[in-house]
Amino acid sequence: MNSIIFLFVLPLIPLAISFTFPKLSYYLGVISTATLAAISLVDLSGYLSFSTLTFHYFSIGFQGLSVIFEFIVAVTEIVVYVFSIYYMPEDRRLAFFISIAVFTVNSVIISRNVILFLMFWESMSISGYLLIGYKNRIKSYPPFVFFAFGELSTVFLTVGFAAYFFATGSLQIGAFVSNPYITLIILLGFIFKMGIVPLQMVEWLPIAHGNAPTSGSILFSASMTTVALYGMLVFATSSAPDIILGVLLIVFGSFSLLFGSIFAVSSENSKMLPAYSTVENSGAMIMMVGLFISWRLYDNLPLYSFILLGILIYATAHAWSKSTAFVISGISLDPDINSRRGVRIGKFSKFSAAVAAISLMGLLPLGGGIGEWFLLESLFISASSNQHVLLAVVAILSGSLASLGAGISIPTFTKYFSFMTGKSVDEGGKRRIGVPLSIGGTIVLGISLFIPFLVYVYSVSVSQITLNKHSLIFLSSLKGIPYPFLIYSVSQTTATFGFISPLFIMMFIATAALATFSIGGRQRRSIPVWNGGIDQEDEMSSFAYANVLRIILSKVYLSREEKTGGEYHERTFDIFWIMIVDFALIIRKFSSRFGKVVMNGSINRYIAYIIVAFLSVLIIVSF
Amino acid sequence: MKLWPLESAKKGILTTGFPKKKNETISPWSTLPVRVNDEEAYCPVDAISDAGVDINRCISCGLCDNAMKPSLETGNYGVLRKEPALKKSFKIFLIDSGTCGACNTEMMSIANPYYDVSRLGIFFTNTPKQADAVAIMGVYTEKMEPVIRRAIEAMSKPSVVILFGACALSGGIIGTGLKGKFNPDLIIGGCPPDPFIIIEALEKVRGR
Amino acid sequence: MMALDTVSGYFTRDGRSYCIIDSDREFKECTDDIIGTLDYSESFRRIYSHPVSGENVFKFNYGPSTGGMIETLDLKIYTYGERILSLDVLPGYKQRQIRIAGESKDLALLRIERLNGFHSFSYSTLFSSAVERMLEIPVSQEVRYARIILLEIERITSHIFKTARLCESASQNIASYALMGLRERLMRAIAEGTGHRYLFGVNKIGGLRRKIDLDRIVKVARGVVKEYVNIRNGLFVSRIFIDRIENTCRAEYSFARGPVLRAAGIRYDFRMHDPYYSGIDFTPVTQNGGDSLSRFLVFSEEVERSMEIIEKCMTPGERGNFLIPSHENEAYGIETPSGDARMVFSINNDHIGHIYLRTPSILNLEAFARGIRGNVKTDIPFALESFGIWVSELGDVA
Repeated sequence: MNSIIFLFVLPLIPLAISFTFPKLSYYLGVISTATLAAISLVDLSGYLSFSTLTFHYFSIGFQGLSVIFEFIVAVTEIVVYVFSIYYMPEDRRLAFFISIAVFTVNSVIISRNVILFLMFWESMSISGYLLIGYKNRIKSYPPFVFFAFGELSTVFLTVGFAAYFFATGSLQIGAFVSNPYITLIILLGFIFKMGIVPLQMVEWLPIAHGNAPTSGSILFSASMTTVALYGMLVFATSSAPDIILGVLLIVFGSFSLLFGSIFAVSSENSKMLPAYSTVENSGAMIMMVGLFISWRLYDNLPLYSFILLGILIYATAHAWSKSTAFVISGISLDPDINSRRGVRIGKFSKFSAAVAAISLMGLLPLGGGIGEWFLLESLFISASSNQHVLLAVVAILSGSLASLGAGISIPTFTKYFSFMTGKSVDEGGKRRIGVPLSIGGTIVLGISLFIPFLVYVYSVSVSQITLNKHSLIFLSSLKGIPYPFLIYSVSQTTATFGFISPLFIMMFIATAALATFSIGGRQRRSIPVWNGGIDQEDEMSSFAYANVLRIILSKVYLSREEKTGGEYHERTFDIFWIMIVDFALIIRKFSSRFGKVVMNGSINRYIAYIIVAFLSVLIIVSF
Repeated sequence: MKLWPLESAKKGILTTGFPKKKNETISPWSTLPVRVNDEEAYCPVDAISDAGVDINRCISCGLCDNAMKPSLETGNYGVLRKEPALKKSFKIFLIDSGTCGACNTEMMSIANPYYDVSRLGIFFTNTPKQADAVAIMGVYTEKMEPVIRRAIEAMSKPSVVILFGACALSGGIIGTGLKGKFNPDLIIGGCPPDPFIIIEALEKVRGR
Repeated sequence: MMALDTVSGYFTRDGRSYCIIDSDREFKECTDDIIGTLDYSESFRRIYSHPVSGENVFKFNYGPSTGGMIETLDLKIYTYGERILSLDVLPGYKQRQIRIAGESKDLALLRIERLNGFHSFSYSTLFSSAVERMLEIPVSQEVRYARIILLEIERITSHIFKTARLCESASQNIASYALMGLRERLMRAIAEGTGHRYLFGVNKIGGLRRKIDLDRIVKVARGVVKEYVNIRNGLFVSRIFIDRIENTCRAEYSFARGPVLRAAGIRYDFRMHDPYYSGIDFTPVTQNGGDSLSRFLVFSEEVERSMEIIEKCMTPGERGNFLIPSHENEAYGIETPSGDARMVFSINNDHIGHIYLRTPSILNLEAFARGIRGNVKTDIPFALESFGIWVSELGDVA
């Protein structure tokens, strides 16, 4: 018996008892996912390895990218389970759906065969549909919209995998695809599932407004997006690189990044804001995949190894920070950031929330900042290319969009953190989110503390994936900073392009803070807010916080002021969602016309149709 | 297209050398009057006594011109407490308790190119939290008293409280003054005080 | 029944309500329900309240004591961030009581001077000339022309100041400093020529208190206006400046006064039919936009017009004492740099009996509170400056 079956079965344990003992299943879930994370970590360190299990056409395996992504996803699932212990722990159906979603996510990662992959991928979509729609009292359309567009992804993947089979003659994942169009179709299938611009609303709106439980949101935003990235990378590493494909992904990603961050900053929904931020981060990762593909084409091994490492670090930081950010949204059931008054949380929990928020702002020394550095560094290196002009130009243009988007994420999460944790009421500790928040924050902080380790093990894996005989570890030392606390990037020709040291930054911040405290810590002066000399009455709302952008970018938001019955409202719209709705209306109109003319119940027409269809099939087959 | 910096450069230096050099000009009646003869001088605010003219009261009206003439001296202020810690930089927050508007604009005019007090390290600030001094102008008004108190409390120490103009000092001819309500470190007389007087007073209170 | 559209003031004394009509020199007893039909009647009580509500709408407090504004004024901005949906103005923080009734004429003059220090000569001239007319005290032609010259000089300094503040708010800092420098140059000349930078103590009933060196002031004023025109021409070609002030705070209300009204295209300037200005050919400056740009244009053109008036007055034709005429039974008025002020008063035994003074800021503040709607918060300081509103004028004169 192959030991890999253990990995497959492990997430099934909580599933088995979820319907009878929901709370116990969450505890078991924590144990099983923690075990999975630990196994992945040991595997990454090189002390453990699994062989592939093949059963007829099907096979599961655990090596290369699978291990890294299992590690990332398992850690987010720990947060999901810990959070669930405190969030509606008695809901049996919720426990069942969460367990099944976790199981399918893990199964996708260990599938080594496209059919199995597609099967679990589809199960993942269905479990998502169930998580959104499991409550009857909500509107019926959100889960259907989600499901319909989820199927779009499956359709692309099915077509792509069929073509994959015809092109390579293999159902095993990892066969070499030389046709870039097949790669494009497969990658598009994954991209649709990431819910990026312009499809962000069909993916995320149902999650936010369809009353999906917060634990489900974490699974969508952190786990499933990461799995989609995994799929992209698996096929991007094994197919022939193509410059058009690479550039397409960079451009696509940069637009997603910019629009995601623009919509995030103006969002007033506690789930929609981090969801839009996921659109932004997905865009960043897609950009890096595009860069990776491009530099693979130009055969610059150190550079594309660096970019691949960057993708992995970015994905890690994003998944872990984002799951913690979603935990913050569980602070109150009211989804309106402006009006909510959440439960009171402890100091460390607040610190953890701040850590997650700052990480998502993309600020050093936290994980998100390191990921951002990898992204911008890759873009800078590509932009400085004088041999590959197209790539350089695209890198400059999309890099500026990306920087703009990354800049906007700072006010976004400043607003999110301060308005979510700022005001609180005592609700008698009904939803104790302090524990999951603290665990999540500690995990995010762990990225910065153990970044040399992460870079080391990821680099080793990257060398294996890129078939590099010499391990290329992007760690170094410089003057005062000892090995391995410096991460460096490579340029196209010379050895080093740039470097950062998160540890150094942390030490610097700590030293500066300690110095300030030791010099002036005793002299504290607290003065009340100066509100023109009078007492404060109203407070700045989170809506107002972002309203300047609504006014400046009124063309993007389609923001307009309305006055109905003496009451003022300002409305903003997601331009892409409006386009999709308009398009759907046109289709509906067309269908009903078409139906009236053609499918009008006249039996003669049906017979005519069948005859025409039969004849055309005959003609096609005969050729 | 107008080249603003060039136009400015053409004008040369307008800024006064005061207080190192002597003041070029002064608003005559904003200085304290001095006696020229023994005629009885009429004063609507009873500022004139045998000892001289009370800087708290004089409203610069010039009604005493039959017996007095402007001294044209810049000494129309009183430093009650010096604060040498503010020698290098001095940020002032203005509070208008009930002025006619002249004190406000005279105070602000010390920043114009003719005086340019930033060369002396004097600046205006928009919040008392960053201020080293509050300059209170105008007569007592009920609703402004708590505002002024808050502003004085909000300042970081060491700080200076300035009562500015005849209205703040004695109420002038309009109302009641603020001297009984707040403890000033510097008083500046005149209705309104001349910019040169203001600059000299601000320099003196910082021990310069 | 009185014609409501000429009502320009309303107040309550000893439990009885009166209203002021521009064309009447007497107090008219009046009731709240008559005056209530005027849509700006609240402003006579210094109430500028326009509350609105809506989703996410909150009151943003600006003032009373904060940077950016010259005087104490509290604004409550109804907004959901940046855009001003509506505005409450609370001028009451600095509410001065200026007691005039029962005082002697000379003391009353000193107090009137300090109603608005920035436009003090306008108010002192209004008061002195009104007393002169009421008591039929003749003044010499020289005094009349000297007063007109000083009134126009005051208008020039006021307009230069407003333009400078407008430039400052529109981030045209060099122009702003240059204009402030010009104003200082003129102020110094005024101080040297009259003895006081703000012209306090210059007027007296029946003449001028001091010998005025008009030649000196006018000589400096010529240079100042020349340079002002030069700066204005420079600002006109600045796209940034024009874009910033164009379309901000559009106010087209017929109850507004002064440059605000003229910038909205209404050809009304009290100097047109002020007997004091008789013999001086004068046409008011108008613009059609009603926005900050139009007001800026009105200011800059009026500076030139004022200089023309000054030049005319420097070579007066007739000399000798005469009684300055006034319109039969019309409330005493004067065109201050911010618009026309109206005064109704009586004299009993050399003392002021009752008095009511309607200043332009009382009406212009309402025009500002309405006009600022739809603009963004950063427009407030320069919109306020361009209306020429002085909070000190809103004080209670009784």
